[in-house]
Amino acid sequence: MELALDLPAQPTHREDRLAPAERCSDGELLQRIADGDREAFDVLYRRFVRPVFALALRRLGDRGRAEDATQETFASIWRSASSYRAERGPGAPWLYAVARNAIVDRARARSETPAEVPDEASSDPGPPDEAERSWVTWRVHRAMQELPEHERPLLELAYWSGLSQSEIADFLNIPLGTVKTRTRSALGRLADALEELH
Amino acid sequence: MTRDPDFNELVGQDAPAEERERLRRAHDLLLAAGPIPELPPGLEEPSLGNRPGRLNENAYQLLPRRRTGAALALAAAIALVAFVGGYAAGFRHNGFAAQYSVPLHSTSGRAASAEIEIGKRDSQGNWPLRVEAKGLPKLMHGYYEMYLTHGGHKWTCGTFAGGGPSTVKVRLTVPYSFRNGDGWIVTKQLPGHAEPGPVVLTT
Repeated sequence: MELALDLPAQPTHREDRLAPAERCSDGELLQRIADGDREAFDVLYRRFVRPVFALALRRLGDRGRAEDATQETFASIWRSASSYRAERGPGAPWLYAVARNAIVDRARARSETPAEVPDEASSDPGPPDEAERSWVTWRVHRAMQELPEHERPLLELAYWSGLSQSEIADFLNIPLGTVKTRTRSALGRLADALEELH
Repeated sequence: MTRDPDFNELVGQDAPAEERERLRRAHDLLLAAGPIPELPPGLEEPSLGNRPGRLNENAYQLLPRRRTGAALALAAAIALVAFVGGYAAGFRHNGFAAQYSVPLHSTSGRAASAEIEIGKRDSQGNWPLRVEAKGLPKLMHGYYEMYLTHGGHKWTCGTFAGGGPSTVKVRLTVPYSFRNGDGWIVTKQLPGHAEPGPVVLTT
């Protein structure tokens, strides 16, 4: 897969007075990407590549295909950032929609053979439930990416590696009290970031 | 299978009820979301690679990541090394014909160190490494992983277990060379965690 992308010939005249991309909101980054700002693209990529890949892997169940879908998502973002309208809402839902479309396209491309009709109704979550769960997962993973570097690993070790606080202190070679303080702080930040989901 | 964390252990008992409830919701969402999968190497860096001439001088292409990852590995792979701090005389040690050696030291002031010996590349393009590490703590969980670094990039060179009072001696093989690297690190890793963990040794 090779995707040709056109960039502007010259930097835009706005560049010298723009804020550093790291400080921009997702929506501001999209607006800068629409102007061909590669730095903004890099920052947005780092913010979202893991949530996009996680979403793709969850939907497609195959790492290679999920990787392709992730590539396609960011190619789409680069090409179509100009269609983002800040007045319609923040950037994250727009990005989620772009990712979801790229993943659905990738899933459709797979279905060469018609699916068999099951004899019984599935107990799996239906499309609305699955969509809701995917959105929540996306938001949680995105919020995790925003945590400070000295806090995020503590939650990852506690929640996803099953280590106790003492074991984390031992593993990271930091005092147990620091582990407890940072963990609680990280949970608090996460709660702030996810407030709207409640 | 990992166990779920104990909410009370994480936040303690002293938080006000309202704050506990707020943190509890974040806790539940984290559990529901599950872990973020490790990124494949090809997705670690955005690569709007500049490929002039394909469309026009200002055309860039989003390279296929898996091929980009391979290209990065190959780019790291051509010969040997400005940063190799050892020597290139060629010597034989315990049956290992080393061409270069690189010392590593502890990042924590601990009396830990290691030496990497780099052998001669075979006809298939594999570089043998011999690593001898002393003073590393024996890990209750996980293992050690060695990386070649360049700027913010890291390429794994292999993993090993061990530590404690005995010296760790392992042989690793990597299919890329080291000319473009600027250092080496050894990290502590947890099973299932692909992200490089805390650095314990560095050049």
